[in-house]
Amino acid sequence: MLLGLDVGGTFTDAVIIDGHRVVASAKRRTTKDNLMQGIGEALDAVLDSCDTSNVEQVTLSTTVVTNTIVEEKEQVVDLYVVTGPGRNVDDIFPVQPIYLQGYTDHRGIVVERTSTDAVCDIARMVQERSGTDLAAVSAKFGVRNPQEELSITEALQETYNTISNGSLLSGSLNFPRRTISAYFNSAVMPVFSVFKKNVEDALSARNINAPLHILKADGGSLPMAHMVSRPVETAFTGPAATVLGLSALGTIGESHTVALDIGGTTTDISLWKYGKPLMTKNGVSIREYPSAVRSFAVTSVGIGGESVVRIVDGEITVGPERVGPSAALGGNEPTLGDALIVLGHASYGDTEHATQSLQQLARVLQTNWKEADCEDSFTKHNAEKQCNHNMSALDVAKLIVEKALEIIQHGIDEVVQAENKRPVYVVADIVNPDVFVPAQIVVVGGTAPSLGPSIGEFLNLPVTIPDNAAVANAIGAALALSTIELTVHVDTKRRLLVIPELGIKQQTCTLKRAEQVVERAKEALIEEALRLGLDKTQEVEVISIEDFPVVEGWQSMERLITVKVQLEAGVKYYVE
Amino acid sequence: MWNKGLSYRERHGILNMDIKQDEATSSATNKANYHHSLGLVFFPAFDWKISETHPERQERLLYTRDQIVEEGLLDIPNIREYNPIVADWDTIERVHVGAPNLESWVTEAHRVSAGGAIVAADAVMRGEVDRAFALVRPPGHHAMAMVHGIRGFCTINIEAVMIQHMRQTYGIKRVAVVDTDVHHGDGSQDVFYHDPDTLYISFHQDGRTLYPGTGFMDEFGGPQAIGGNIDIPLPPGTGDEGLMKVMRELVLPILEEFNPDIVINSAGQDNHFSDPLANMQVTAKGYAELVDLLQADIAVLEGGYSVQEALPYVNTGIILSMAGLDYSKVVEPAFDPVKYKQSQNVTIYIDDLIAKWKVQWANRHKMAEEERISVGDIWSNRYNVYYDETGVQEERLEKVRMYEDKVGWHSVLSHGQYGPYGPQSVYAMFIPWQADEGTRQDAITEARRAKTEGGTSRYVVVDPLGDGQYII
Repeated sequence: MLLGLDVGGTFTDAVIIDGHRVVASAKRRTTKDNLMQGIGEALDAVLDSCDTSNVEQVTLSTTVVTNTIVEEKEQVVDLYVVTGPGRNVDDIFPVQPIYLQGYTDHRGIVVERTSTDAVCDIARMVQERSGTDLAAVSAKFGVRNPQEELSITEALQETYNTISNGSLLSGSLNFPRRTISAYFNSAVMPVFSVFKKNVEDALSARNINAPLHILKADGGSLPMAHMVSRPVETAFTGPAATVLGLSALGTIGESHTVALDIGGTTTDISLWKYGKPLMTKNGVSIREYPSAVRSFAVTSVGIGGESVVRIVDGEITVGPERVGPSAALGGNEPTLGDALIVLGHASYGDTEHATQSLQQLARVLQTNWKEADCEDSFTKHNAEKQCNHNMSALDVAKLIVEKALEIIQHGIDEVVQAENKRPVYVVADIVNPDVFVPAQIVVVGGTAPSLGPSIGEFLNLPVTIPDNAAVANAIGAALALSTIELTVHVDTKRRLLVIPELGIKQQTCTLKRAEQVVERAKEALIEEALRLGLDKTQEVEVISIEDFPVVEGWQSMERLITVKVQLEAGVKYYVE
Repeated sequence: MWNKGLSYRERHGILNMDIKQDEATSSATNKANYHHSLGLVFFPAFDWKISETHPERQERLLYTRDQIVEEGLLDIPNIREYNPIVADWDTIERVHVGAPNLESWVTEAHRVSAGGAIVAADAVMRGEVDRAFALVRPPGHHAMAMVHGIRGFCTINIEAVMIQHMRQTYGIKRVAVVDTDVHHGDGSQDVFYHDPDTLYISFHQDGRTLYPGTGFMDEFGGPQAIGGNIDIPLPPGTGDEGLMKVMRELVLPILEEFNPDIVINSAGQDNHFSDPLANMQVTAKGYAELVDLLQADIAVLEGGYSVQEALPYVNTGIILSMAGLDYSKVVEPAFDPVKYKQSQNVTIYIDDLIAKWKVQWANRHKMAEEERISVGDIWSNRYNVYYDETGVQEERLEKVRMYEDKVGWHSVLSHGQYGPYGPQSVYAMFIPWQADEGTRQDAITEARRAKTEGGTSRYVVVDPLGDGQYII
């Protein structure tokens, strides 16, 4: 039995899955001031009818870290960087960094050492002023040789309790992104620790002793005990849970799919290429700061069931604001939901209120058009046509839905265009491009049943709206596979092997060929999976192999090989 | 300053002025977006090489990619990345004639590289960005209009193909190419030599000490384009100081007088102190400063083979500089200010060269007039071209039709031998892009006349803004 828990912005959902079936589910309001209350209520609701000793694993998806970041409530962090020559980074981090002397180059050669004695002295001075016990360390090309970053971290341990490392959080090139990851990782650590303790208490109070996992933005889950040192990766897991939920519901298939999650305020767009969700190219942005945190590529447009409908300069606008509930539910302003009710696509609340609010809009529109018509009847040909008959609430509802669909279509077009514009670095990919052309649409979320069919017609694509979508996020969390990514970089000339994510640097590497490095990478990944106590059956996927001949002194002997492997995101199995 | 400090879209009012006023002042980011936005076409061709250990191999831009990505340059809001396209044959054929044909020499990699330059040009001409940098390979500035093989690692001239694209798509007239590669760009010189509206300026290590052995002061432009080709041969050991002086005292004033619609930088990076194929002492910061001074609309990568010690830093410097960002911290780890200081002898030599050049530049109108009077209707010249990479020896007879008031055709009768395809001969008639109907008819008549004379197996006409390349 698997227990999934999704703590969203509005609702906290819990599901219990047993043998490919959802046997219990509950939806409770999220209690923002004291999250544990809502979590407790949802847990109690699903656990009511089952034996807690049968729970094999609990997986949690939470907005704790997301909210801390969005509300800018993270703690102050002393940020130490080793930049060497290059771009000026004075203004690109949330705080002015503390520059340490030293430089490691692109081959991982330490050109200039950082003196650890100096680091200790500087740290004492800096910490005296900031008063924080949180620090972060990031060095340019730390992923090509983590040695300097690690020795600085060791020196800082005299002064700080919590220190995050850029190259331990990501093995990919991009020093500013790794630095941002490290900074926010330390900044959210206190709040995450408190949350972890609360959840553990809530579970043990209910006699659940199964392993506790937490969902990451890349759609994988890892043990809570491990993630306590990498809390930044649990930010922005909402979209990940949705994407996994879609996958678990078995609705995607192998074709190129556009998935839409239409909530109250926004529509989240994700793309599925050959049945696999696309990831962000380099990582997710934390506020305005691009980070190295891997995540599904999800783009939001401001259209949801409760998007407010207004008339601006004589034109109907839908969203991006959400003011209150729909008029049908007693709100003051009409919404997209009201239009769907009037069209008969949805049925909730008071239909009469919905119709009245739209008729009000019709009157305003007609008044505007008539005035415009008097000024210039030629250019307002359409307006004239509209004026000839009395506009009904139904007419307005159609206009509203059309407007909403246009915005969604525009959003989809931009996401698809961006996907097809990803940089490619080899001739073969330019000559034979692998272009994403949407073949189907899958729609989930509260507004899916009422708006979904119209989207299909509008875009002229087949649409699927899965039934069990209401608690898709919790299902996704419960069934999430584990993910780990490792980078192995080998420089055969210098006999150097580096695995930055594990802080490994070996100077006696004898590997010479790409196949050997791939094997080594797989071994390292399996070892790490065992260390974390993960499911052994998951297959290791090779993400990329870069294998370059290195010529020095006009002879081709040596190679630079970089291999990335991962446990791929996905679900343990499908549910019915 | 030749462009008054404005980008192409600012000079031509392509940028929406309302947006500019409102948004440009609202934040530093927007200011950068609206005044210093840079389009970057980064195409390292990681699957293309001339041969395993050749300087033009897969690894060449690997460390540059590493540095650019590690610095996070592609995340900077005012830097926009573009993918290259495959340049179409028609555009290439409006510049180049191949022997036995272009298909024998031009691979997809070459077309993608030229396509990268074309994408960069489009980004600027459409006003999407202020400047663009095509960081692409393989390079092109040793490729001449006639192609019997690979010369100096180049097969087709990617800047020339790009300029052809700009002429046929956007109707630009006056173009200046400033070649900052350490080698003389004899290919670009060849393509533009008879065009008075395309100014080619190259400074490079003196041809007496470096490939391709050309690029001297007296190569001042064809008989109808005198003053349209500026070669500034610098002594080995020239450093940042000498380069800046040449820029300030010669290149910029010449550009200002030429008054170009657009300036293109053939951005070779082998003047660097660590380059294995040359002997100059320029630094990454020096290159960035040069780019800052030049304010080119479009830069296209050419040579540069210190792939580890120079290219990562020089490219970072150029990108930061073109994007209007601080490049003062780009200092290569191997830089030693004492060791790489420009010597007194070099400084004196350069000062003297600048003085001579100023005199020649001032005399250009007089020289052009004398040339026109002395030549008569047809100018002709016989010379040889060597293709180092493919071992082809080519013999050319070049002719130019001189008019009093307009640009005339030039033709090349070409015989190549010793290459993989055996002896090859071709006659090519190049119609100028400025041609009116009279010029065009004169050219075609001349080509037909040449054909009746015989001597080669193939006769082609290249009409860049007319019917393209065709056989007669």
